[in-house]
Formats: sequence, structure tokens, C-alpha cells
Amino acid sequence: MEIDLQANLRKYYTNIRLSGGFIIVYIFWQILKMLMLMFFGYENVYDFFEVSKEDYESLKYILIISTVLIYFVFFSFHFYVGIGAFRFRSGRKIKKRFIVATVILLVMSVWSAFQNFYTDNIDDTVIASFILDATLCFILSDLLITLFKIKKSQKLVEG
Amino acid sequence: MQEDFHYYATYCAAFLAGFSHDESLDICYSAQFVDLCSKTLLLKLKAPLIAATTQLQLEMMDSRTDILALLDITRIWASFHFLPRDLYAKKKWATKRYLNKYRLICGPNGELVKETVELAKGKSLQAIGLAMHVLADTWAHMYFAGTPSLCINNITGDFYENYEDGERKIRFKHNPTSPDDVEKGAYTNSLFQSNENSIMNLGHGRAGHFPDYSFARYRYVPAWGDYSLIYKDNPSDYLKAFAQMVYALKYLNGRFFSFDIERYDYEAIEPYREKIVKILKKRQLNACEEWKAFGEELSGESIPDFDIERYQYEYIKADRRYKNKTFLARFFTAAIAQKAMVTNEIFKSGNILAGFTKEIKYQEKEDDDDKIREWLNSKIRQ
Repeated sequence: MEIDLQANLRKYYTNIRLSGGFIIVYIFWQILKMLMLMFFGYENVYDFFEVSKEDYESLKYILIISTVLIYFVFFSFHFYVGIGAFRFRSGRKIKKRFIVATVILLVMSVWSAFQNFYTDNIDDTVIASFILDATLCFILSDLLITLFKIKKSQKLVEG
Repeated sequence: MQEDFHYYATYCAAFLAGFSHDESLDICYSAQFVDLCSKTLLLKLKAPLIAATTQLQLEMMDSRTDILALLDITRIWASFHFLPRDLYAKKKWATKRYLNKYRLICGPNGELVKETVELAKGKSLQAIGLAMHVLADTWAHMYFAGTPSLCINNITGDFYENYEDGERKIRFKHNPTSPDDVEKGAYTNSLFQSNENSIMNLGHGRAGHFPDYSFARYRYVPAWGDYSLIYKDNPSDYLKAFAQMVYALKYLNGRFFSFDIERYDYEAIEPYREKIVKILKKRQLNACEEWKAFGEELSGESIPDFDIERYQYEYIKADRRYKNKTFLARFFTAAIAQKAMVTNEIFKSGNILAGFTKEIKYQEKEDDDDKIREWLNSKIRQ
């Protein structure tokens, strides 16, 4: 039975590493999507921030800094979870903050996935974006389930 | 396995089984020749290409991976180097497509090994040598399949070698020109290719040449194993292979009435066990010298080094009437029969990866030989 447990643990560790790899790749996709939106999706910077020209002139720095901060936090979460999962090795303890970060990321991703449809024009790009976001939600759910399975298996091995 | 076991160790086994020095030489030559009889060589000899028992690296590089090419590759490698252990193996939740490949996993003491040895009974020394090569390889190439398959033959990065001082992780590199470094634990393997049917995923390519070293003791996680760990002890396995070869050769020599799997002639090798184990355990890339010395000590005769061209001239120059009686022709006949038997068994099991081949049962006709000679002599007298 211990052999089966060890085999299962190996499977879970591989699963987590693969999930981490996907999350890291997803970051690059998000950066690419953001750049494409900025340079090709909007005619001018006011449309990007969804403000009028006058409001943009007065709130320029606040808008830019807050946008950068939001993206930074967004990507940091992804990076923290992705790298943490990718580097996960046998024998490492599962930290609570990692699980909390994964849960928060999952909630953000679910919200982000459905937010794609809050638009007048649902075209192929929206559907493609939704598919990727939905995949991320699945990967994050799988990551959480695997983490709990590892915890359980580790207890059985130690017991 | 490599030349040290296929040539010299087979000679030793044949001599211990009661074959004479010359017979043992023929047997061991044939055993080693299985690793060299490629289509390139057969083209040079103008011999039937269907008798190919191996593929050179250059041939494999040029090989396609469509259905027919995969069929060709599987027929050669599964028939001579990765004899399937259980063609009717079952695995839970496995699709038929996966099972076809899973059932080609090589291992010792399968039904096909028995059929291989029995096929050589009453046949030429070349057939015996060929059977010994196939038998020996079932031990070295255990847990790998003779068909290009990522989902069967791939390994993870958890590849550890056990040796006297402890355990260390094997570092695989992709430089076929540089030799394996036993001291540093750096060995060459094939490049990772995510394509399921890439030639890089054939046999034990992903583990490099490591399974063929007699000293190797290692653990790894194969792709087919559902993350389970496999422990491989080559010194122990190679000793069993040697003992089983002696037993099989005694059966082929007529000393035993039947050949059963899971039987080994440890009694015959007992006086030399310590020496054999010492050779097997010595950490070196090639044990030819030690095996050769052992063989010469056994027989008191000199064992010539393997020369691939030894019998080529005889075959090329032989008259069409006598061609079948040449050394190489007998080998080709045995190879064709072995390939037919194995691929037919694979097909009968419902597996189409090796295609379909008509089984050839042949008997050598000695009386025709005398008639032809008599006719020739009569012509000369006239």
C-alpha cells in the first residue's frame, strides 16, 4: 500500500508542476493580450481608461499608476502561485499562504472569465479569451484539489 | 546488451552447455551479428532485406513515422531486441490503442522466449545464436518496448544509480559523440521528443545505453508504470540471463528434453559463479576482455575478435546453388523465421502494430546437397 501511496504522491507532484508551468505561460499570454489591446484594441488612451479627454488630463498620473499597480498585483499573484507550484518538490511543506493565494487567484480568474462577456460585441477573440480563462480556472481548481490530496497522502505515509 | 555479452559470454555459455569450440564460435558470432545485420549491410551483400535484424542510427534518422514505417521498425525491434513478455497483458482503463503498445513491453520468461528457443531446435547453429541474442536481450531490455512510443518508453528525471558508495542521480546528456562517463555518472540518451511515434522514443533510447551495462543498478519511473518505481539490478539479471542461456543451449544440444521458462542452470555455472559475478559487477563500459579471457580459459582455445566481414566473401562469391548453405544464408533464414514467428504471434493477439506475416516453417534438406554435388562431379568427369 505504501508503494501505491508513493506512486500517487509522485503523480500529484508532477500534476502540480505541470499546473505551475501552465500558470506561468498564462502570464505571458496575459501580457501579450494587454499589449495587443493597448496598441491595436483602442484608438486612443482615453478609450483604454474609459474616461473623457479632460478627465484623463487631470487624472493621468493616478490612472497610470493605479493601472500599473493593479496589473502588478494581478501578475504577482499569478507568478507567486505559478512559480510556487512549478518548484514544488517532494518533502516540501505546503504553506497556508500558498493555498490562500491560489484560492484568491481562482476567484479572480472565475470573475475574469465571465467578465469577458460584459461587452456588446462578442466575437472570436472574446470566446478565445474565455476559453483560456476557463482553462486557468480548471487548472487552479485541480491544483487545489491536488494540494489537499498531497496533504492527506503525506499524513498517511507518516502515519 | 552489447558485444561483451552477446559474443564472448554467449561463447562461454555455449561451451559450458557442451558445444565444441568451433560450434560455440558459430553460435556466438550469430548472436553478435544480430546487432549488425542492417538493411545497409544486406544491400551490400545483395541479400534479402527482410532478413534485417537491426537498424543503424543513420537508417533510423532517415526513417519515416507513418504506419508502414512504424510497422517495419516494430517488426525488427520487437522480434530481435525487445521480445514482448505478455501479448495478452491487461491494464485498467487502457484504450486498445494504448494496450497494443503496452503489450509489446519486453521482459524475460514470457511465452515468446519459449517459442524462440523451440524454434531454434533442430536448426542451424546460426539459429541457435540468434535465439540466444533474443533471450539475453529480454533481460537487459526489460520494461522497454520495441516500438516508438513516448507513453511507454519515456522516463522521468528521477533516474538514480545505486552503487557501493550510495546512490546518485544520473545526468543524461545528448551528445552521442562523447562516451559515457561511469565515474561521473553522465550518460548519453536520446533527445526528448513530444511526438508519440518519434524514433527517439524507441526502446531504451530515453535511458541511453545504460540498461546495457552489466554493472548498472538503478531505479527510475517509466512512463507506462503509473508513477511506480522500477528497480533494476543488472548484475543479478545478467547472471540469470547467462544461466538461462546455458539451460537453453543444453536443451538445443539435446541434453534436456524440454525448455521451460523460469528455469536456470545454476549448477553448470556454479564453479565459475564468482568469476562471472566479478565480471558483471565491474564498473566499465565494456567487459569484452574479461569475458574473452574467461572463455579462453574454459575452452583452452583462442577466441578471435568479432569481424563483421568474416563470412561476407563466402556469401557474395557462393554459387546460387550453394548460397543457402553459407554461414550468412543460414543466419538470414533463421532471422526471417524468427521475425515471422514473433510478428505472427503479435498479430494473432489482436495487435496490428507489427502487421501481418505468414509463418514460415522450414526444414533444411541435406539430400539435395549430395545430389547437386554428384551431378557436378559427373559433369566434371565428362
